[in-house]
Amino acid sequence: MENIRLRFKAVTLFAIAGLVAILGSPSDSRAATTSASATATVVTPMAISKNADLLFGKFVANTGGTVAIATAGTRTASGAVALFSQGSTSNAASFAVTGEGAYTYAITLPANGTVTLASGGNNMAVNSFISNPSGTGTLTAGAQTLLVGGTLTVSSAQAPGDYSGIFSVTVDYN
Amino acid sequence: MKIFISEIFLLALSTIAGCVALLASPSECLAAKASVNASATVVAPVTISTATEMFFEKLSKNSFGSVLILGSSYQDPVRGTASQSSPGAAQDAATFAISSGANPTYSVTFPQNVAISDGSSNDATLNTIAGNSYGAYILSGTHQIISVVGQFKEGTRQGDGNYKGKLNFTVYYN
Repeated sequence: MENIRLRFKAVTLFAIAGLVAILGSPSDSRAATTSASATATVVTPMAISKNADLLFGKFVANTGGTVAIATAGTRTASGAVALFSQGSTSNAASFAVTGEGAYTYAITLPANGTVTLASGGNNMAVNSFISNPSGTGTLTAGAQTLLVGGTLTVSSAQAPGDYSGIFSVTVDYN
Repeated sequence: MKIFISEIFLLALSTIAGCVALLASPSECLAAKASVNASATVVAPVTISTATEMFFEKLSKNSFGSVLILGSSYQDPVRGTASQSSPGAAQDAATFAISSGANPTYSVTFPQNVAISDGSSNDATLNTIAGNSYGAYILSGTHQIISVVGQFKEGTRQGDGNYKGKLNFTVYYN
């Protein structure tokens, strides 16, 4: 009986030693370990919202021409168009662009031939959109104001009336 | 085993689909778009047309001092009363119809020192002034009548005759 107990203890110790040998030492003898950092940055998504509409104001068409709104808001006429100042408000469109830090972003304006102002069955095209900044914007502390102007084409004897339309501006990280 | 392979296959398909979605439409994931209104108002041109010609009618030669005034009463927007003329003679101030699609203020230029002649060797000059007191000339609605009276000044050679001349008035938006 005593022998049996001694054998059981011996087997147990051997088994433990074996487990220790298997579990505890292979890395010490055959493997190599190193560490690496894992990082990720969640970027603030770009957003754009309207501050002000694009207003060409009032004018008399006469035999036609153009009305242009600069990004600074100044209004100029060409051809026979006569600007009308009484009760007239004009300004460039303004957008609030937000995003990440000082990232740059691309600005996409409407292409020529895609924006029309309408009044009943009468139309005027808006082309040559311009912006400030132009092409690429740079955020400052995650924000920037984007100004957009354009040129309105007025035909001869353009019918009097209030004309309106909608256009979109897209911004995207570079 | 078959079930295990199917799960791997579906997982792979969903991963590929996600990548395709990301690669095919990154602008939808990263870009931002905003729309604004664009508007313009075409104002009807202001027009002026003659409603009544200006008549001095008969003036007595011996009354020719420096100035004869037709329409001494500016309160009468249509008919003046010449202070010097043949009894019973009719005179009229000129009247003009002003119209516009809006109700703006406007200005009128009154011709001065317009040469008139009897068609031969006699001449005189004519000045014009406002015959009514619309003052700032504000269209109430879309139509207004203004009157104009004249000052007939004897010329260097004054003789009997029928004197005629043409007066050009200009109206414009302020």
